[in-house]
Amino acid sequence: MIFTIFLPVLGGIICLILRERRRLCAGVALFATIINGSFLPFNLFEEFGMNLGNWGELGIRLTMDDLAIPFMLSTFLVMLAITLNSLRKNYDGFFYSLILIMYGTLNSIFLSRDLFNVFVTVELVSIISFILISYEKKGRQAWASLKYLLLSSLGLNFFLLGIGLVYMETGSFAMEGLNHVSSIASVLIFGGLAVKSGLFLFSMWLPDAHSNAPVEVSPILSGLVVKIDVYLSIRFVQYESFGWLKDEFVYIGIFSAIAGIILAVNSKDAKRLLAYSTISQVGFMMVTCDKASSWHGFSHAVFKTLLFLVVGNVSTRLGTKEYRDWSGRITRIEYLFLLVGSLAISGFPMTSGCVTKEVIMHDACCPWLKVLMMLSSVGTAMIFSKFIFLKPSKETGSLPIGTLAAYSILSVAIIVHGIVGFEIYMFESLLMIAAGVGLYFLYRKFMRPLPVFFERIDNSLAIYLIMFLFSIGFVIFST
Amino acid sequence: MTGNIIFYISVAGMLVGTIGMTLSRNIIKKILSLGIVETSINTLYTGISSRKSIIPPIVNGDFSIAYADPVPQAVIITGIVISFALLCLSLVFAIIIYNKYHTMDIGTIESNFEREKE
Amino acid sequence: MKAMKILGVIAAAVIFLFVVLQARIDLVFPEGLEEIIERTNIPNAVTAIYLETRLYDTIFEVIVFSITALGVTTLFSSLPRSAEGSQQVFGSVTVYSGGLAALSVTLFLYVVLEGHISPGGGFVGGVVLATGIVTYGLTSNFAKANSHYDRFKIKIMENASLLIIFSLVSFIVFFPETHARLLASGEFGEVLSGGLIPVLNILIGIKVYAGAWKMSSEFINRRGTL
Repeated sequence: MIFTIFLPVLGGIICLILRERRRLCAGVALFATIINGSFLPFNLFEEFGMNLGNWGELGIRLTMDDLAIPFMLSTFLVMLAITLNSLRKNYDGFFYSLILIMYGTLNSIFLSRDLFNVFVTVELVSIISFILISYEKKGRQAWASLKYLLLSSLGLNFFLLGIGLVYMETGSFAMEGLNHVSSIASVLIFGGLAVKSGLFLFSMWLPDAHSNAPVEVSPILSGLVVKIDVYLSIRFVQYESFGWLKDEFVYIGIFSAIAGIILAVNSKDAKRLLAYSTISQVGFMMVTCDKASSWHGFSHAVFKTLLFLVVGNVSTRLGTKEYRDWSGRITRIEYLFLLVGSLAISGFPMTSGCVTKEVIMHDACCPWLKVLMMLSSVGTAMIFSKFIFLKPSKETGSLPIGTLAAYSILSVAIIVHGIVGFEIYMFESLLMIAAGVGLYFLYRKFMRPLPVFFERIDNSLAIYLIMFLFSIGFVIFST
Repeated sequence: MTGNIIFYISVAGMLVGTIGMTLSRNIIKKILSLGIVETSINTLYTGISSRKSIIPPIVNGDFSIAYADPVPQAVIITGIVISFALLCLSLVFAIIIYNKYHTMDIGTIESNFEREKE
Repeated sequence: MKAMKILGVIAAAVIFLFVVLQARIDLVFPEGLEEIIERTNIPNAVTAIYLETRLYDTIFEVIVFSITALGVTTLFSSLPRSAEGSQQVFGSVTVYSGGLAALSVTLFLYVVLEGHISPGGGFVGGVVLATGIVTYGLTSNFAKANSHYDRFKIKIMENASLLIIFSLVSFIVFFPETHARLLASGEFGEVLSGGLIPVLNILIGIKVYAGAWKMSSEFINRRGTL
């Protein structure tokens, strides 16, 4: 099990050293990813738990359990797709080394049961993503990186303060200690990580970073880096001191789901639209915050990667990010994969999106919540009608072999997951899609990009602090 | 006792840094404020170590003395490295932005971006 | 705009007020020092934790450092450099900074080699050495300071030490019992004790020095561009 951490990191270090030899590094990256993936079926279901170096309480504990399975699977699929897609491009060895080290580090986050180790690994992932976002050295990318860096570092310092309080109260950094810590420590831990979560108002750096990043990087950010906080929140809710978090997520999550949709519907830029849709989907996941949401995290990572890759490749080929200009110019094969991704995210039966989304909606606690969740589902269908009703050109078109393989692996994952998990009651999602399509045709004349008030750096910082205060207030009034 | 004083001072330092990050309009000042926050949190961890005693934990076989707690000061070395790395990276981004737009004022930069879009 | 900022400041103030009011500082004082010292068999408990009980954190820290050094170099690669001959030198500083650089090499060796006995360690040593050389480069002769990077093949040393650190860490993580036997065989308080810990200290020292020098020289190469 521990090889899933050490093997990619070793590959990354080799790429770091041999970074001038591009092809070799790409080969190492592909090889390490595939080896890791082929061990995954044996690893995922074994019982695993070890204290590194036999140090017991003093050391770092790694454990595998059910919650980590979807995240580790999605990490493998996303990394494989990205490596395949990047093969024909001109990335140097450093890019592959960053990707591989990120792969190992993400696996480490999903296994670790030590708060300080989580801090270090999360910071490493953040540093890698800062470098990756501005990999093409455009001014806009550097600005997005800097904004992300300032906000995320501030948030992680709050997290560090929180685990300092945990250490003072329990005498160790182990996660078991979270069963009885004071509420202020728990709220600092939640609030510090929330800046990376992608929830609306907590992390308004997200649209800029996700939409300006290079083609291969946006899927990593949206599929994996955002999922770190989803995973850790689901993990923390299991502990007693975080009982309040589940109640708070009902409000924050559904608010974020709706707000993300309102922003995305009005957006013209395809990548920006996907970034806003990430905000909405993360909110949707967080509403229940249990095992079902971790599986929605898996399916979201897969179809969002597919969408980001297709949209990124198409927009670099055509030279425009505005989806309306693609009409008639996008080839049939690209349209096919865009259609698969769009249908999956809107919850069409027999796709992964439908399965996980319906399970989450089924678990909703009260009627008003269910209505709002249906509304957000309708909204998602409305957003992605924009892609579904694009007009493909007459020619079939051809794709490079790596890109085709990446798209196909992701599509197969979507469809297999959709068929395996299908239940008959899930046909109700067809109704929601129909409603979304209808609303899209009614509303399409009035779509105007909304102002980016909250995305300015000062405002996003201030609103983050205010939402932090809101969380503290929530804890105080709920206990 | 020492630990308590360091704890309160560092929390105050974090507050100062956060306020600086919110109010300043210059990128470099924002980065420096972030540096203040990070230094404060690193100091706070040494404060956690020195709650019981301030004798450094270099033991010569005598366990009867109350030593300072070694764990927080050992882990925060990692934190210091990370804050150094973040500082370097943020300055690099600041230099890239300055070379493209020849200003450090965030209002100007952001209005530039919004105009570019239209 | 302005109201937003003021609200943010108020929120920050209230957050930290709650932290100060609700933090329970004197609650638990962890014990475990004795066990750590007895099993690692070295006097410096901080090094014992940094390189033995929580070694797993340290490998990520080393990776953070390498990635940042390379990332800074890569991101800077397209930016213009400042002119070579623009360095201003003051007479007396040149003398002192040369001596300081020599002193920092000695201090580096002492801090790194005795890191498991007295206060010190790889990270501190690397920073000391980098500070000495950067001071020399800034005040006396940057081209001369920069030349040692190629002359002593620092790049190869850096890469090799990264790979060796990773393999040693993997060894210690996978075979803790072997390393525990190695630790127990040393004499308590001697330089040649502590198993692989002094080796790790030296390698981390080289690694940190190389990364810090690389980053600083990139920044010095672009002085005045901000």
